[in-house]
Amino acid sequence: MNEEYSLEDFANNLLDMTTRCRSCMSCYSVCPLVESTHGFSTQGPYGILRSIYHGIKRDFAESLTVQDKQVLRNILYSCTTCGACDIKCKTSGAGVPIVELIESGRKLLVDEMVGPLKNQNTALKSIWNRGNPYGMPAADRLDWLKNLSEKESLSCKIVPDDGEVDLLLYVGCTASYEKSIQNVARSLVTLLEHMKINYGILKEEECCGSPANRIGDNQLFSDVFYKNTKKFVEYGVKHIITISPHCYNTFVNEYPDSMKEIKIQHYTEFLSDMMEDGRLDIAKEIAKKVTYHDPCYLGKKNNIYDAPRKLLRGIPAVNLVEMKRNRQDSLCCGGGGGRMWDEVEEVTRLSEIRLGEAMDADAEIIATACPWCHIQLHDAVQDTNNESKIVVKDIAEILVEAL
Amino acid sequence: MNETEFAKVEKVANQLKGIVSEEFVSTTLFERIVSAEDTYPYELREREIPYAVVKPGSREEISEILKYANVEKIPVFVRGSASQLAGSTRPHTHGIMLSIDRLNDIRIFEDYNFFECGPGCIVAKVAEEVGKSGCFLPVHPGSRAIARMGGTMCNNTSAHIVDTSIGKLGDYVLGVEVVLPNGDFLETGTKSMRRPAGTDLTKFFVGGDGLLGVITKIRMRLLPDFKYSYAVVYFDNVRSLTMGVQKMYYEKQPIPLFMEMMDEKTARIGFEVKGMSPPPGAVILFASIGSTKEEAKDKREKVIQSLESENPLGVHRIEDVDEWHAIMSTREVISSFLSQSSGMQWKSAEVIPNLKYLPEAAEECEHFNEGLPICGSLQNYLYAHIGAVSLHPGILVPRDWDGEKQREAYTELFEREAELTLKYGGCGGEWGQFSKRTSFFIRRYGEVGYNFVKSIKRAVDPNNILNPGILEGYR
Ligand SMILES: Cc1cc2nc3c(=O)[nH]c(=O)nc-3n(C[C@H](O)[C@H](O)[C@H](O)COP(=O)(O)OP(=O)(O)OC[C@H]3O[C@@H](n4cnc5c(N)ncnc54)[C@H](O)[C@@H]3O)c2cc1C
Repeated sequence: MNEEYSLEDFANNLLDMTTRCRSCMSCYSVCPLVESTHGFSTQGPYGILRSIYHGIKRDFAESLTVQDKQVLRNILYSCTTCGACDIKCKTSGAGVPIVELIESGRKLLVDEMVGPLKNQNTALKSIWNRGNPYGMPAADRLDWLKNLSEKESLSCKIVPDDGEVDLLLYVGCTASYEKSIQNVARSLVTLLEHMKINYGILKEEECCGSPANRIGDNQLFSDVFYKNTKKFVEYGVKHIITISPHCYNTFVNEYPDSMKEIKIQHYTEFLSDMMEDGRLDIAKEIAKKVTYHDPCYLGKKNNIYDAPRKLLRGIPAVNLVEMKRNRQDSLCCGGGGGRMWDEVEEVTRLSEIRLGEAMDADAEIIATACPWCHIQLHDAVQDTNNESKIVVKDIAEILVEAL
Repeated sequence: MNETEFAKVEKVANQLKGIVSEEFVSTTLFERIVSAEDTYPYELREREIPYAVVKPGSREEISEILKYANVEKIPVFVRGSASQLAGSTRPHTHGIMLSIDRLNDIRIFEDYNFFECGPGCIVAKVAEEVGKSGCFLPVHPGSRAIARMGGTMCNNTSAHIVDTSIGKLGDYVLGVEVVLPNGDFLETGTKSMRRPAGTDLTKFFVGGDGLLGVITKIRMRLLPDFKYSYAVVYFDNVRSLTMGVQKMYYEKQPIPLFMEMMDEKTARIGFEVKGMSPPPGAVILFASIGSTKEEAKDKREKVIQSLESENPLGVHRIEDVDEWHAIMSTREVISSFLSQSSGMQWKSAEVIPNLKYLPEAAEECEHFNEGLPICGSLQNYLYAHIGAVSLHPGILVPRDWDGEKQREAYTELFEREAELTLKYGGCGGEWGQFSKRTSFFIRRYGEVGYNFVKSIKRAVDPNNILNPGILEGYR
């Protein structure tokens, strides 16, 4: 926050924005928190907004205790930022940008050193120090590629050392470091090789900053943004595809104008274009019932619903079935909003509810296109002992199986 | 919070935790405040903030809470989703906020031809469940995605449904289970298809404004769904539109299930938002019903026949249900769009005139707020559940008015609503009779009527433990 625009101005503006809410409470009907908690009033969008309002007012009046502030922090950090409430508020409410306000509330808490939650802090520190929220060494970031490059000779360029590329695959922290997700990155490489694309990956990729923004660390986000945009411009990057919808959303919606020159796509959009052009030819059959779980940051936030489905339909013999809640109505897996880094009270895990919906649809595979959804849903499958009935796969992995 | 209040919060919470599992009791400042707020934008006063919020999971737990509250003389405020529009869920004093949303079972008994549900069930979910059995839930509020069956029962509202078509919600209630304010259990009504003749205890609770007991279970007859036929009719002005509605009644036509209207200004907004070409004038949208499509169509034609005697500008018949939903959405987006585009708070009133003076009342509602000291210069819009002869003038209230001014503004609007409803001989048809409407009740039914309710309340709830303030109109 700069000096002309003080913390108090920020708080006042936030206060004003929260009063736009017309208290119709419609947002409760779509909020995943309501479903996964005991459903107290503060465990839903309206209640979170009102808590921000009362928190600011009482803070101005110096009537908030330390415990009150901690409660407020827990309320604010429980939100998955899935955006279902924003959509509902636009159609039935006063059009309040609820998630944005919740994230602003988090910024205030971070500025006041009340937020974030403990483990979220560790994740943020790790982004500062190591360029990823997982506490992993920056030097290990490309380890996921080793297996693959040992087996076959890859055309993948390491940017900037190997020169300019037509397409930059922005792998993201989760696909780089999480063992269970690294295969998604490798699958993408396999697909790009298969299509003979002139592509590359960054030699020193760093976090896109999404966790910083979700958790409310403005300064960290500015720093990461500055470093990343500088790199992209310097290396002459023209076209980026991301694996994670969270990185995609950050680049498209949260990096200011400097990124506007660069074409940014989620990988499902890019592959779907390639499929349409005939460059991605899928020959093998996968005779399975597949359901697609819409990641919130792809669907609700960016209206990308069709490309992933087109890819799945493009695989011979795939029987694509929809869950009861799909597209804009799809249920959040619970992994967004900084919740990957700390435990948030859940009576029923969202990922398990979602798994139930996939099983109700009789699916054998839950396809998704987000590393965090993948982890959440995979854990749900394991924790409920359903491994013999259903598996979670990324669309890229399924495509590779069908090559 | 001062020390005495803090101690009180602790004490109440400890007692509640002895009745209900700890995780269902909250004493956080924010939960206590937010759970006591309702659809009105002004803030609670400090003395209105509850000591604790409790979510009991059974009628036994509710009974224990009420017994404890009687001993300690602590008010208990019952909360569904707090979407009631006359201020009934907003406490006027410290107390226990009792949320009924955990009582949310629904069971359909096809062989008995009824279903039973907890008061915490969301209206839309119940509609969906009975829909699976080919049935129709005879209540359809704009708030159905969040309103709960318990709150809806207390108001006995059928909402957008035209009462004279299929009756009011309460007409389908076979019985309820209730915990009385002293903690006693009561089961009312019947499990048979024929509802009680003579004294029907159910009537004290359905449409009982939450005064006499906490409803813990609702039993309703299954109503087979209908076949539908739809139409949109455009009129030059509100007068001819409402005269058309009068004709429909006078000519004894089959009354549609849904019949909504918007004046031209309002309709233009709705149509524009939904990307439709502007309507030529004021609009009626209606859905006729029958047990066959032909019957529904036939009834629709009869209604159109009556409306046509007022020379409408156009009649558009609709067969496709998606088209109907699209056109109905023009009406449903009004309040939301106006809040968004103006950045102000939408507030509608409910004026229920008699049939004879409907055109005059509707015309007055087109200028509903004219001349009011506080709200006189605000924008006014008109829509209505016109088949039910229920008018909703709506106003946009600025957000930057301070809390006191807002309170006064809303009181002024309720007073104006009361004035018109009294003038035209009606009474509130959707949001209950008390709270912000208590002064209307007294004027409409006199001290005798008011004392009658008060004496029943006193007999059942001598300590005035359950939902105090509703009857008194403190909200
Ligand atoms: C956007 C919007 C649209 C609306 N549209 C309509 C409409 O079209 N038609 C209409 O009629 N209304 C409408 N309403 C008003 C409101 O939704 C209804 O009155 C609804 O039925 C109230 O349900 P609730 O669960 O919110 O009840 P609450 O507001 O929580 O409670 C209402 C009253 O009932 C009492 N109560 C609740 N449950 C119990 C129980 N189990 N036992 C005893 N007392 C209880 C409460 O103490 C309170 O006095 C609308 C409201 C909103 C915000």
